[in-house]
Amino acid sequence: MKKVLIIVLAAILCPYIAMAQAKQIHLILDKYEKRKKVESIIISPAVLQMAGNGNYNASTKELLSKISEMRIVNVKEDAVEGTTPLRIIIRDDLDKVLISPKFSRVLKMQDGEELLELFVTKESDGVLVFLATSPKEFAVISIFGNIDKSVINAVMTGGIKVK
Amino acid sequence: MTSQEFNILVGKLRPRLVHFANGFVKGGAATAEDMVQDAVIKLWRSNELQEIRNPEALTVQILRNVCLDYLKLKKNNMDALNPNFRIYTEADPSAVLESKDEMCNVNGYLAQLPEDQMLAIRLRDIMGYEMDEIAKILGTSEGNVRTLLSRARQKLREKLMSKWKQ
Amino acid sequence: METIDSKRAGDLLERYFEAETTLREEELLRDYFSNGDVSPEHAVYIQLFCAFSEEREKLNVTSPALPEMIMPVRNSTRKFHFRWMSVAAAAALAVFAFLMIPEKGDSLKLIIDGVNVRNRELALTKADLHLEQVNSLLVRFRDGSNKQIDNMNKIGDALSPFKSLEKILTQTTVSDRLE
Repeated sequence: MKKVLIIVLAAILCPYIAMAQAKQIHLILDKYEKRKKVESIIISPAVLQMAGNGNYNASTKELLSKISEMRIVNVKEDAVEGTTPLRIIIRDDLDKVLISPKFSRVLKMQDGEELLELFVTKESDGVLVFLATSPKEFAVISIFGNIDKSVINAVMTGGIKVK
Repeated sequence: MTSQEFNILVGKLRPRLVHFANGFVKGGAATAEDMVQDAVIKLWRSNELQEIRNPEALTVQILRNVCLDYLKLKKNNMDALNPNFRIYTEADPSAVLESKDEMCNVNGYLAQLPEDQMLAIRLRDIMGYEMDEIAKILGTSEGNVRTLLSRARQKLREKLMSKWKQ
Repeated sequence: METIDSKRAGDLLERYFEAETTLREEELLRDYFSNGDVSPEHAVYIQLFCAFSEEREKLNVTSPALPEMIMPVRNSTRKFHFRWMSVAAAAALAVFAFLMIPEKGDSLKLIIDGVNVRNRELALTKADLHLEQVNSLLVRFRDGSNKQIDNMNKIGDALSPFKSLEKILTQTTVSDRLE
Protein backbone atom coordinates (compact mmCIF):
# COMPACT_ATOMS: atom_id res chain seq x y z
CA MET A 1 0.00 0.00 0.00
CA LYS A 2 1.42 3.27 -1.00
CA LYS A 3 1.76 5.89 1.60
CA VAL A 4 1.09 9.46 0.73
CA LEU A 5 2.83 11.84 3.05
CA ILE A 6 2.05 15.49 2.78
CA ILE A 7 3.63 18.34 4.57
CA VAL A 8 2.53 21.76 3.59
CA LEU A 9 4.14 24.88 4.93
CA ALA A 10 2.53 28.26 4.64
CA ALA A 11 4.37 30.74 2.50
CA ILE A 12 5.15 33.98 4.20
CA LEU A 13 5.85 37.01 2.12
CA CYS A 14 8.78 39.09 3.20
CA PRO A 15 9.90 42.36 1.72
CA TYR A 16 13.04 41.09 0.05
CA ILE A 17 14.06 41.12 -3.52
CA ALA A 18 14.40 37.53 -4.61
CA MET A 19 16.31 38.20 -7.78
CA ALA A 20 19.47 36.99 -6.11
CA GLN A 21 17.85 33.65 -5.39
CA ALA A 22 16.77 33.21 -8.98
CA LYS A 23 20.30 33.94 -10.05
CA GLN A 24 21.72 31.43 -7.60
CA ILE A 25 19.49 28.75 -9.04
CA HIS A 26 20.59 29.73 -12.55
CA LEU A 27 24.21 29.38 -11.50
CA ILE A 28 23.71 25.89 -10.12
CA LEU A 29 21.83 24.78 -13.22
CA ASP A 30 24.51 26.32 -15.45
CA LYS A 31 27.12 24.40 -13.56
CA TYR A 32 25.66 20.98 -14.17
CA GLU A 33 23.65 21.25 -17.34
CA LYS A 34 26.41 20.14 -19.68
CA ARG A 35 27.57 17.07 -17.83
CA LYS A 36 27.37 13.56 -19.11
CA LYS A 37 24.08 11.80 -18.40
CA VAL A 38 22.45 15.14 -17.80
CA GLU A 39 19.69 16.66 -19.89
CA SER A 40 18.91 20.31 -19.87
CA ILE A 41 15.98 22.07 -21.44
CA ILE A 42 15.45 25.81 -21.48
CA ILE A 43 11.98 26.91 -22.42
CA SER A 44 10.69 30.36 -23.07
CA PRO A 45 7.11 31.33 -22.25
CA ALA A 46 6.31 31.40 -25.97
CA VAL A 47 6.02 27.60 -25.95
CA LEU A 48 4.09 27.30 -22.73
CA GLN A 49 0.35 27.10 -22.52
CA MET A 50 -2.34 26.45 -19.98
CA ALA A 51 -3.70 22.92 -19.92
CA GLY A 52 -7.22 22.34 -21.12
CA ASN A 53 -7.30 25.78 -22.61
CA GLY A 54 -7.86 25.76 -26.28
CA ASN A 55 -8.39 29.49 -26.17
CA TYR A 56 -5.64 31.84 -25.21
CA ASN A 57 -7.63 34.30 -23.17
CA ALA A 58 -6.70 37.32 -21.12
CA SER A 59 -6.15 35.48 -17.84
CA THR A 60 -3.91 32.79 -19.30
CA LYS A 61 -2.03 35.47 -21.17
CA GLU A 62 -1.56 37.39 -17.97
CA LEU A 63 -0.39 34.34 -16.14
CA LEU A 64 2.10 33.28 -18.76
CA SER A 65 3.41 36.81 -19.00
CA LYS A 66 4.59 36.45 -15.43
CA ILE A 67 6.91 33.65 -16.40
CA SER A 68 10.25 34.62 -17.89
CA GLU A 69 11.78 31.21 -18.35
CA MET A 70 11.51 27.57 -17.44
CA ARG A 71 14.55 25.37 -17.02
CA ILE A 72 14.60 21.64 -16.58
CA VAL A 73 17.75 19.83 -15.60
CA ASN A 74 17.45 16.09 -15.38
CA VAL A 75 20.25 14.06 -13.79
CA LYS A 76 20.21 10.35 -14.47
CA GLU A 77 20.82 7.97 -11.63
CA ASP A 78 24.12 6.77 -13.06
CA ALA A 79 25.60 10.23 -13.56
CA VAL A 80 28.69 10.61 -11.41
CA GLU A 81 31.40 13.05 -10.52
CA GLY A 82 34.36 10.98 -9.49
CA THR A 83 32.82 8.33 -7.28
CA THR A 84 29.87 10.36 -6.02
CA PRO A 85 26.49 10.25 -7.75
CA LEU A 86 25.95 13.61 -9.40
CA ARG A 87 22.40 13.90 -8.09
CA ILE A 88 23.75 14.06 -4.54
CA ILE A 89 26.22 16.78 -5.44
CA ILE A 90 23.66 18.91 -7.23
CA ARG A 91 21.18 18.35 -4.42
CA ASP A 92 23.76 19.58 -1.93
CA ASP A 93 24.33 22.73 -3.95
CA LEU A 94 20.60 23.28 -4.27
CA ASP A 95 19.99 22.73 -0.57
CA LYS A 96 22.45 25.48 0.26
CA VAL A 97 20.24 27.87 -1.62
CA LEU A 98 16.79 26.39 -0.98
CA ILE A 99 17.12 25.69 2.73
CA SER A 100 17.20 29.32 3.70
CA PRO A 101 14.89 32.02 4.96
CA LYS A 102 14.50 33.26 1.42
CA PHE A 103 12.68 30.15 0.30
CA SER A 104 9.65 28.22 1.54
CA ARG A 105 9.10 24.59 0.93
CA VAL A 106 5.51 24.64 -0.13
CA LEU A 107 5.12 20.96 -0.73
CA LYS A 108 6.74 17.68 0.02
CA MET A 109 5.11 14.62 -1.29
CA GLN A 110 6.21 11.02 -1.30
CA ASP A 111 4.49 8.30 -3.25
CA GLY A 112 6.28 5.00 -3.05
CA GLU A 113 9.75 5.67 -4.42
CA GLU A 114 8.91 9.02 -5.89
CA LEU A 115 9.43 12.23 -4.02
CA LEU A 116 8.25 15.63 -5.11
CA GLU A 117 9.16 18.87 -3.40
CA LEU A 118 8.26 22.39 -4.29
CA PHE A 119 10.19 25.45 -3.16
CA VAL A 120 9.20 28.99 -3.82
CA THR A 121 10.97 32.26 -3.10
CA LYS A 122 9.18 34.18 -0.44
CA GLU A 123 9.22 37.38 -2.40
CA SER A 124 7.20 36.87 -5.54
CA ASP A 125 9.78 38.14 -7.98
CA GLY A 126 11.97 35.07 -8.07
CA VAL A 127 11.71 31.43 -8.79
CA LEU A 128 9.71 28.30 -8.20
CA VAL A 129 11.62 25.04 -7.99
CA PHE A 130 10.28 21.52 -8.23
CA LEU A 131 12.60 18.72 -7.17
CA ALA A 132 11.42 15.36 -8.39
CA THR A 133 13.38 12.40 -7.08
CA SER A 134 12.80 8.92 -8.42
CA PRO A 135 14.96 5.79 -8.64
CA LYS A 136 15.93 6.49 -12.21
CA GLU A 137 16.62 10.19 -12.10
CA PHE A 138 16.57 13.48 -10.29
CA ALA A 139 14.83 16.35 -12.01
CA VAL A 140 15.00 20.04 -11.18
CA ILE A 141 12.25 22.05 -12.80
CA SER A 142 12.56 25.78 -12.24
CA ILE A 143 10.17 28.43 -13.28
CA PHE A 144 11.52 31.96 -13.18
CA GLY A 145 9.66 35.22 -13.16
CA ASN A 146 7.03 36.95 -11.15
CA ILE A 147 6.00 33.90 -9.20
CA ASP A 148 2.95 34.99 -7.29
CA LYS A 149 0.06 33.00 -5.88
CA SER A 150 -1.72 32.75 -9.20
CA VAL A 151 1.32 31.18 -10.80
CA ILE A 152 1.85 28.76 -7.93
CA ASN A 153 -1.80 27.87 -8.07
CA ALA A 154 -1.69 27.23 -11.79
CA VAL A 155 1.41 25.11 -11.48
CA MET A 156 0.02 23.07 -8.57
CA THR A 157 -3.16 22.29 -10.43
CA GLY A 158 -1.14 20.93 -13.31
CA GLY A 159 -2.05 23.92 -15.36
CA ILE A 160 1.15 24.64 -17.19
CA LYS A 161 2.22 22.57 -20.15
CA VAL A 162 4.29 22.86 -23.27
CA LYS A 163 2.64 23.17 -26.64
CA MET B 1 24.64 49.24 -18.35
CA THR B 2 21.29 49.01 -19.99
CA SER B 3 20.40 45.90 -21.88
CA GLN B 4 20.32 47.85 -25.08
CA GLU B 5 23.88 49.10 -24.60
CA PHE B 6 24.91 45.59 -23.73
CA ASN B 7 23.30 44.12 -26.82
CA ILE B 8 24.82 46.69 -29.13
CA LEU B 9 28.29 46.19 -27.71
CA VAL B 10 28.04 42.44 -27.82
CA GLY B 11 26.83 42.62 -31.39
CA LYS B 12 30.01 44.45 -32.34
CA LEU B 13 32.29 42.16 -30.41
CA ARG B 14 30.62 38.94 -31.42
CA PRO B 15 32.39 38.26 -34.76
CA ARG B 16 35.77 38.56 -33.13
CA LEU B 17 34.78 36.31 -30.26
CA VAL B 18 33.31 33.68 -32.53
CA HIS B 19 36.40 33.77 -34.70
CA PHE B 20 38.54 33.19 -31.65
CA ALA B 21 36.42 30.29 -30.47
CA ASN B 22 36.33 28.81 -33.96
CA GLY B 23 40.05 28.30 -33.71
CA PHE B 24 39.62 25.47 -31.26
CA VAL B 25 35.97 24.45 -31.23
CA LYS B 26 35.71 22.50 -34.41
CA GLY B 27 32.84 20.79 -36.12
CA GLY B 28 31.33 19.05 -33.13
CA ALA B 29 27.77 19.62 -32.05
CA ALA B 30 29.01 22.36 -29.69
CA THR B 31 29.73 25.28 -31.97
CA ALA B 32 31.73 28.41 -31.48
CA GLU B 33 28.52 30.44 -31.70
CA ASP B 34 26.97 28.40 -28.92
CA MET B 35 29.98 28.87 -26.67
CA VAL B 36 30.05 32.60 -27.20
CA GLN B 37 26.32 32.89 -26.68
CA ASP B 38 26.47 30.90 -23.45
CA ALA B 39 29.31 33.08 -22.26
CA VAL B 40 27.37 36.26 -23.05
CA ILE B 41 24.27 35.07 -21.21
CA LYS B 42 26.30 33.96 -18.24
CA LEU B 43 27.93 37.35 -18.06
CA TRP B 44 24.63 39.15 -18.34
CA ARG B 45 23.31 37.25 -15.37
CA SER B 46 26.39 37.63 -13.23
CA ASN B 47 27.61 40.20 -10.77
CA GLU B 48 30.73 40.93 -12.75
CA LEU B 49 28.83 43.06 -15.21
CA GLN B 50 28.63 45.86 -12.66
CA GLU B 51 32.39 46.17 -12.49
CA ILE B 52 32.90 46.47 -16.21
CA ARG B 53 33.73 49.97 -17.29
CA ASN B 54 34.73 49.57 -20.92
CA PRO B 55 34.37 47.27 -23.92
CA GLU B 56 37.82 45.76 -23.59
CA ALA B 57 36.95 44.56 -20.13
CA LEU B 58 33.70 43.21 -21.52
CA THR B 59 35.57 41.20 -24.13
CA VAL B 60 37.92 39.90 -21.50
CA GLN B 61 35.02 38.74 -19.35
CA ILE B 62 33.26 37.02 -22.22
CA LEU B 63 36.49 35.36 -23.30
CA ARG B 64 36.98 34.24 -19.77
CA ASN B 65 33.63 32.54 -19.73
CA VAL B 66 34.30 30.93 -23.09
CA CYS B 67 37.72 29.64 -22.07
CA LEU B 68 36.71 28.39 -18.66
CA ASP B 69 33.65 26.67 -20.10
CA TYR B 70 35.79 25.09 -22.76
CA LEU B 71 38.31 23.86 -20.21
CA LYS B 72 35.56 22.50 -18.00
CA LEU B 73 33.84 20.83 -20.93
CA LYS B 74 37.04 19.19 -22.00
CA LYS B 75 37.60 17.99 -18.48
CA ASN B 76 34.17 16.52 -17.89
CA ASN B 77 33.00 15.40 -21.23
CA MET B 78 34.96 14.90 -24.38
CA ASP B 79 32.11 14.12 -26.71
CA ALA B 80 30.63 17.55 -27.24
CA LEU B 81 33.83 18.71 -28.87
CA ASN B 82 34.48 15.56 -30.83
CA PRO B 83 33.92 16.22 -34.51
CA ASN B 84 32.67 12.70 -34.99
CA PHE B 85 29.84 13.01 -32.52
CA ARG B 86 26.84 13.65 -34.73
CA ILE B 87 24.07 11.37 -33.55
CA TYR B 88 21.63 13.86 -32.12
CA THR B 89 21.82 16.80 -34.45
CA GLU B 90 19.08 17.26 -36.94
CA ALA B 91 20.75 19.64 -39.33
CA ASP B 92 24.21 18.75 -40.47
CA PRO B 93 26.65 21.27 -39.02
CA SER B 94 28.84 22.66 -41.75
CA ALA B 95 32.11 20.78 -41.90
CA VAL B 96 35.26 22.70 -41.19
CA LEU B 97 36.87 23.35 -44.53
CA GLU B 98 40.48 22.41 -44.83
CA SER B 99 42.15 25.62 -45.77
CA LYS B 100 45.41 25.70 -47.60
CA ASP B 101 46.82 28.44 -45.49
CA GLU B 102 49.67 28.35 -43.00
CA MET B 103 47.40 28.33 -40.01
CA CYS B 104 46.15 24.91 -41.03
CA ASN B 105 49.31 23.16 -39.93
CA VAL B 106 49.88 25.35 -36.95
CA ASN B 107 46.30 24.73 -35.88
CA GLY B 108 47.08 21.06 -35.91
CA TYR B 109 50.06 21.57 -33.63
CA LEU B 110 48.05 23.81 -31.34
CA ALA B 111 45.34 21.19 -31.05
CA GLN B 112 47.91 18.76 -29.76
CA LEU B 113 48.87 21.01 -26.90
CA PRO B 114 47.21 20.79 -23.50
CA GLU B 115 44.13 23.03 -23.59
CA ASP B 116 45.36 25.71 -21.26
CA GLN B 117 48.61 26.08 -23.18
CA MET B 118 46.68 26.24 -26.45
CA LEU B 119 44.42 28.96 -25.13
CA ALA B 120 47.39 30.94 -23.79
CA ILE B 121 49.02 30.94 -27.23
CA ARG B 122 45.82 31.97 -28.96
CA LEU B 123 45.22 34.75 -26.50
CA ARG B 124 48.77 36.06 -26.77
CA ASP B 125 50.05 35.42 -30.27
CA ILE B 126 46.76 35.80 -32.08
CA MET B 127 44.50 37.98 -29.95
CA GLY B 128 47.40 40.08 -28.64
CA TYR B 129 46.45 40.28 -24.98
CA GLU B 130 48.82 41.38 -22.23
CA MET B 131 49.93 38.91 -19.57
CA ASP B 132 47.64 40.32 -16.92
CA GLU B 133 44.65 40.17 -19.23
CA ILE B 134 45.36 36.56 -20.13
CA ALA B 135 45.71 35.77 -16.45
CA LYS B 136 42.25 37.21 -15.88
CA ILE B 137 40.76 35.31 -18.78
CA LEU B 138 42.19 31.98 -17.74
CA GLY B 139 41.60 32.55 -14.07
CA THR B 140 45.23 32.14 -13.08
CA SER B 141 48.37 34.10 -12.19
CA GLU B 142 50.64 36.01 -14.56
CA GLY B 143 53.50 33.75 -13.57
CA ASN B 144 51.51 30.74 -14.63
CA VAL B 145 50.62 32.37 -17.92
CA ARG B 146 54.30 32.90 -18.61
CA THR B 147 54.96 29.25 -17.86
CA LEU B 148 52.11 28.11 -20.08
CA LEU B 149 53.34 30.28 -22.92
CA SER B 150 56.94 29.24 -22.71
CA ARG B 151 56.07 25.56 -22.51
CA ALA B 152 53.64 25.85 -25.39
CA ARG B 153 56.07 27.76 -27.56
CA GLN B 154 58.83 25.30 -26.87
CA LYS B 155 56.57 22.40 -27.78
CA LEU B 156 55.67 24.15 -31.00
CA ARG B 157 59.35 24.61 -31.68
CA GLU B 158 59.96 20.89 -31.24
CA LYS B 159 57.20 20.04 -33.68
CA LEU B 160 58.46 22.54 -36.22
CA MET B 161 62.00 21.22 -35.89
CA SER B 162 61.02 17.62 -36.33
CA LYS B 163 58.88 18.44 -39.35
CA TRP B 164 61.68 20.51 -40.80
CA LYS B 165 64.14 17.67 -40.66
CA GLN B 166 61.91 15.31 -42.63
CA MET C 1 58.04 50.11 -39.19
CA GLU C 2 61.45 49.25 -37.88
CA THR C 3 62.89 46.09 -39.42
CA ILE C 4 65.25 44.01 -37.38
CA ASP C 5 68.31 42.16 -38.49
CA SER C 6 69.10 38.53 -38.07
CA LYS C 7 71.08 39.01 -34.85
CA ARG C 8 68.34 40.96 -33.15
CA ALA C 9 65.86 38.33 -34.35
CA GLY C 10 67.98 35.64 -32.77
CA ASP C 11 67.98 37.46 -29.43
CA LEU C 12 64.28 38.06 -29.53
CA LEU C 13 63.57 34.47 -30.45
CA GLU C 14 65.49 33.23 -27.45
CA ARG C 15 63.40 35.42 -25.22
CA TYR C 16 60.24 34.51 -27.09
CA PHE C 17 60.57 30.89 -26.16
CA GLU C 18 61.02 31.87 -22.55
CA ALA C 19 57.83 33.96 -22.83
CA GLU C 20 59.78 37.08 -21.96
CA THR C 21 59.03 39.18 -25.00
CA THR C 22 56.70 42.15 -24.99
CA LEU C 23 53.85 42.50 -27.45
CA ARG C 24 55.89 45.04 -29.38
CA GLU C 25 58.84 42.66 -29.67
CA GLU C 26 56.56 39.90 -30.85
CA GLU C 27 55.25 42.24 -33.50
CA LEU C 28 58.82 42.87 -34.64
CA LEU C 29 59.35 39.14 -34.92
CA ARG C 30 56.24 38.67 -37.01
CA ASP C 31 57.36 41.43 -39.36
CA TYR C 32 60.80 39.91 -39.63
CA PHE C 33 59.33 36.56 -40.69
CA SER C 34 56.90 37.98 -43.18
CA ASN C 35 59.51 40.11 -44.93
CA GLY C 36 61.03 37.25 -46.81
CA ASP C 37 64.57 38.11 -45.77
CA VAL C 38 64.99 35.50 -43.11
CA SER C 39 68.33 33.96 -42.31
CA PRO C 40 68.50 30.17 -42.86
CA GLU C 41 68.87 29.33 -39.18
CA HIS C 42 65.50 30.93 -38.49
CA ALA C 43 63.67 29.55 -41.53
CA VAL C 44 62.07 26.79 -39.49
CA TYR C 45 59.94 29.37 -37.68
CA ILE C 46 58.55 31.11 -40.73
CA GLN C 47 55.44 28.97 -40.81
CA LEU C 48 54.65 29.72 -37.19
CA PHE C 49 54.93 33.48 -37.29
CA CYS C 50 53.28 33.77 -40.67
CA ALA C 51 50.38 31.74 -39.40
CA PHE C 52 49.95 34.12 -36.48
CA SER C 53 50.15 37.13 -38.81
CA GLU C 54 47.48 35.64 -41.03
CA GLU C 55 45.17 34.95 -38.13
CA ARG C 56 45.60 38.47 -36.82
CA GLU C 57 44.75 39.82 -40.27
CA LYS C 58 41.60 37.76 -40.37
CA LEU C 59 40.65 38.95 -36.94
CA ASN C 60 40.99 42.58 -37.94
CA VAL C 61 38.86 41.93 -40.98
CA THR C 62 36.07 40.28 -38.97
CA SER C 63 35.83 43.12 -36.48
CA PRO C 64 33.69 45.97 -37.70
CA ALA C 65 35.11 49.41 -36.99
CA LEU C 66 33.91 50.44 -33.61
CA PRO C 67 32.95 54.07 -33.21
CA GLU C 68 35.40 56.32 -31.36
CA MET C 69 33.68 56.21 -28.06
CA ILE C 70 33.56 52.49 -27.84
CA MET C 71 37.10 51.57 -28.92
CA PRO C 72 39.37 52.45 -26.04
CA VAL C 73 43.06 53.11 -26.37
CA ARG C 74 44.93 50.70 -24.20
CA ASN C 75 46.20 52.14 -20.90
CA SER C 76 43.98 55.11 -21.48
CA THR C 77 42.77 56.90 -18.41
CA ARG C 78 39.45 57.64 -20.05
CA LYS C 79 36.65 55.82 -18.32
CA PHE C 80 33.21 55.40 -19.75
CA HIS C 81 30.42 55.50 -17.26
CA PHE C 82 27.43 53.42 -18.04
CA ARG C 83 24.13 53.98 -16.32
CA TRP C 84 23.59 51.21 -13.84
CA MET C 85 20.13 49.90 -13.37
CA SER C 86 18.50 49.51 -10.00
CA VAL C 87 18.20 46.03 -8.65
CA ALA C 88 14.43 46.06 -9.10
CA ALA C 89 14.71 46.87 -12.76
CA ALA C 90 17.30 44.15 -13.09
CA ALA C 91 14.61 41.53 -12.78
CA ALA C 92 12.69 42.90 -15.71
CA LEU C 93 15.86 43.27 -17.70
CA ALA C 94 16.83 39.68 -17.11
CA VAL C 95 13.69 38.80 -18.98
CA PHE C 96 14.33 41.46 -21.56
CA ALA C 97 17.87 40.28 -22.13
CA PHE C 98 16.70 36.75 -22.57
CA LEU C 99 14.26 37.84 -25.21
CA MET C 100 16.57 40.37 -26.81
CA ILE C 101 19.76 38.40 -27.20
CA PRO C 102 19.38 37.18 -30.74
CA GLU C 103 18.83 33.45 -30.79
CA LYS C 104 17.70 32.78 -34.34
CA GLY C 105 14.11 32.54 -33.17
CA ASP C 106 14.93 29.77 -30.74
CA SER C 107 12.63 29.67 -27.80
CA LEU C 108 13.79 26.20 -26.84
CA LYS C 109 17.17 24.87 -26.03
CA LEU C 110 18.08 21.25 -25.42
CA ILE C 111 21.36 19.94 -24.16
CA ILE C 112 21.98 16.21 -23.83
CA ASP C 113 25.28 14.98 -22.38
CA GLY C 114 26.74 18.42 -22.92
CA VAL C 115 25.78 18.53 -26.58
CA ASN C 116 23.53 21.28 -27.84
CA VAL C 117 20.87 19.33 -29.70
CA ARG C 118 19.04 21.30 -32.34
CA ASN C 119 15.91 19.26 -32.42
CA ARG C 120 12.85 21.20 -31.45
CA GLU C 121 10.50 18.23 -31.44
CA LEU C 122 12.74 16.28 -29.14
CA ALA C 123 13.08 19.24 -26.79
CA LEU C 124 9.31 19.65 -26.62
CA THR C 125 8.77 15.96 -26.06
CA LYS C 126 11.26 15.80 -23.24
CA ALA C 127 9.96 18.93 -21.57
CA ASP C 128 6.47 17.53 -21.82
CA LEU C 129 7.58 14.27 -20.27
CA HIS C 130 9.07 15.97 -17.25
CA LEU C 131 6.10 18.23 -16.72
CA GLU C 132 3.77 15.25 -17.02
CA GLN C 133 5.75 13.40 -14.39
CA VAL C 134 5.37 16.31 -12.02
CA ASN C 135 1.73 16.76 -12.88
CA SER C 136 0.92 13.13 -12.25
CA LEU C 137 2.47 13.36 -8.82
CA LEU C 138 0.51 16.51 -8.15
CA VAL C 139 -2.71 14.78 -9.13
CA ARG C 140 -2.03 12.16 -6.53
CA PHE C 141 -1.36 14.93 -4.06
CA ARG C 142 -4.66 16.58 -4.77
CA ASP C 143 -6.54 13.29 -4.46
CA GLY C 144 -4.54 12.24 -1.45
CA SER C 145 -4.75 15.47 0.47
CA ASN C 146 -8.51 15.35 0.56
CA LYS C 147 -8.34 11.99 2.28
CA GLN C 148 -5.49 13.18 4.46
CA ILE C 149 -7.39 16.15 5.75
CA ASP C 150 -10.34 13.92 6.61
CA ASN C 151 -8.09 11.56 8.50
CA MET C 152 -6.49 14.48 10.28
CA ASN C 153 -9.83 15.66 11.44
CA LYS C 154 -10.74 12.23 12.76
CA ILE C 155 -7.54 11.86 14.70
CA GLY C 156 -8.11 15.31 16.10
CA ASP C 157 -7.13 16.10 19.63
CA ALA C 158 -5.75 12.69 20.44
CA LEU C 159 -2.46 13.54 18.82
CA SER C 160 -1.47 17.08 19.70
CA PRO C 161 1.48 17.47 17.27
CA PHE C 162 -1.02 17.11 14.48
CA LYS C 163 -3.18 19.86 15.83
CA SER C 164 -0.93 22.61 14.62
CA LEU C 165 -0.37 20.79 11.35
CA GLU C 166 -4.08 20.55 10.79
CA LYS C 167 -4.36 24.23 11.48
CA ILE C 168 -1.76 24.95 8.86
CA LEU C 169 -3.42 22.64 6.39
CA THR C 170 -6.75 24.30 6.68
CA GLN C 171 -5.35 27.79 6.80
CA THR C 172 -3.22 27.69 3.69
CA THR C 173 -4.51 28.16 0.23
CA VAL C 174 -3.97 24.47 -0.47
CA SER C 175 -7.62 23.72 0.02
CA ASP C 176 -8.42 26.69 -2.17
CA ARG C 177 -6.36 25.15 -4.90
CA LEU C 178 -8.10 21.85 -4.82
CA GLU C 179 -10.58 21.47 -7.57
